[in-house]
Amino acid sequence: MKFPFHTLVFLLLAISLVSCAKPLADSTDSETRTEGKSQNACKASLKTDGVCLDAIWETYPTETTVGSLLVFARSLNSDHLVKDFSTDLRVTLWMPSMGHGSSPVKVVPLQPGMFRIEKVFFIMRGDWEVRFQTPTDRATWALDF
Amino acid sequence: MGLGFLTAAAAVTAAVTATARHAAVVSAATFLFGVEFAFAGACCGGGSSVAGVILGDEKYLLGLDLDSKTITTDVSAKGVWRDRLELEEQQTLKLHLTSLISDRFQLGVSPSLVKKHRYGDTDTSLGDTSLLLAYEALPDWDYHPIRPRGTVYVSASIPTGKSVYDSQSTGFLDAAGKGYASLGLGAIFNKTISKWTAIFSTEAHHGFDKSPIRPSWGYTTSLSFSYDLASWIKGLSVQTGLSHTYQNGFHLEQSQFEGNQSLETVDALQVTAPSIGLSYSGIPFLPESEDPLVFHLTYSDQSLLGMPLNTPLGKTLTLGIRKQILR
Repeated sequence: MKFPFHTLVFLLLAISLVSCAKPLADSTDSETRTEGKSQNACKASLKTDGVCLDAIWETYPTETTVGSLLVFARSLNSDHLVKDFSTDLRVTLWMPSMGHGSSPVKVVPLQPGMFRIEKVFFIMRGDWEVRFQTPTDRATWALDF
Repeated sequence: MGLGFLTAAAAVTAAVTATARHAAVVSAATFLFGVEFAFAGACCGGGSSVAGVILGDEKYLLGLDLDSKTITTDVSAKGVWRDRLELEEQQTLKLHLTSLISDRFQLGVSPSLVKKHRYGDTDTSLGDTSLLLAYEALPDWDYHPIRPRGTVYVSASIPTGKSVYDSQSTGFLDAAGKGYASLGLGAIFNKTISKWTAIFSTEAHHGFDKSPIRPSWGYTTSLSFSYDLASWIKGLSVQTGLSHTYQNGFHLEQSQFEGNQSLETVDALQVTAPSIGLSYSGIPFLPESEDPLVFHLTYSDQSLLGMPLNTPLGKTLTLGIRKQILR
C-alpha cells in the first residue's frame, strides 16, 4: 500500500489555512497608553536619594516622531521639588523583553529638580522602560508604547 | 555494436537527466530552508541558513538568494501583537558556495548583505557569515523504499555583521548581525518517492560570549514537501513547508555607575513560519542540461501559524537561483 503523501500534504495545508496565530491583540491606542498616571503619581522612586521622579509627556512620541518628557524630582516625603537634586541624571530607553534600547535621549536641566528629556523615540511598539540613573541611585518607569 | 553504444549513451543520458531532475527537485525543497531559517532573530539581525547543503548528487552548489521581507507586527514576550504603522522593509542577498571535499564530506560558506528601510532611511550592511561542514551519514547508494538519505553537519555563524549593541543608526538599520559567534549541530533527512520529496531538518546551536552579550542556546526544526510537476510543465515543481524556531533567553551585561555591572535577562523567542513555493529547473526553450540552473520563488509568512513570542513578524518573498554541478 502506497503511503498517501498527497493526503498528508493536503492535511498540512488545511491545518495551515484554519489555524489562528494571533491569540492576543492590543486594542489600546498609543495615546491612551503613553498618558500614564496622574500628575501627582510617582513614576519612579529613587529610594536611596529620597526622591520621587514624576514625569508627564510634553510631546508624546509616535512610531515616526520623537517625543519629549518633563521630569520633576520631588521629595518622597512631600510634593516639593528637590532643589539640590543631582544634575548628573542619566536617562536611557530600554526594551527589556528584546534586550535592546533605542536612540539616545538628551537630558536638559530646566531648573533645580526639573528636567526635559528630549529625543524620546521608541523604535518599536511594546513594553518599554525609561531608566533613570544618578551617581547614587537608579529607578525605572515601565510603560507600554 | 554501434546501436549498442547509442543505446548505452541514451541510457546514460537518461540517467544523468533523471539525476539532474531529481537533484533539481531536492534543491527546490531544500531552498525553503533559506527562507525559513533566515528569519533574522529577534528584532535585529541574526539567523542562520543551511540552504547551502548539498542533498542531491551535486559536486558543487552555487546559489544566490534574494529575500524581500516586510515586517508588519511586533509580538511581545507575553504574546501581545502590535501592528506597526511604520513598516520595515528588508532585502537580504545571500550567496551559497558549497563543494564536496570528498565523496561524503562537503564544505560551504554563505556570506550575506542586508538592506533595511524604515523611517525614510535606508542602510546596507554586511550580515553574518555561515560556515558549514557536512557529512553524508546515510547515503542512498542503493535503493531502499523507506530509508532516507541523511546528512549531518556542523555549522558556524561568524559575526561579520554589526549587532544592535554596535548600531549607530536609529531603528538599528545598520544592524544585520547577532553580534556573537555560534556553533550548531544539525541533521537533514530527505527521501524521494515517485514525484514526492520530503525533507526533515533539525538543528541546535549555542552562542559564544561577546560583551555585552552572553548568548544561550536555540533550535530550528523544519519539514517540507515537494511535488514534481514535470508531467504538466517540464522542470516545474511545487513545495510547501513549515519551520519552527526557538531561541532561549540570554543575558546582557549592563554597565552602571562607578564601573559596576549587572546582568539583564532577555526573554526567549519563538516563531513558526509556513512557506510555499515554485521552482523551475533549466532555461526555457534551451536544451536540458546535465548541470541545470534552478530558479525558485517562495513566499513565507510568520504571522499565520503558531504562538510567536518576543519577535517581529514578517512576510518574505524569496527569489533564488541555484547552479548545480553534478558529480
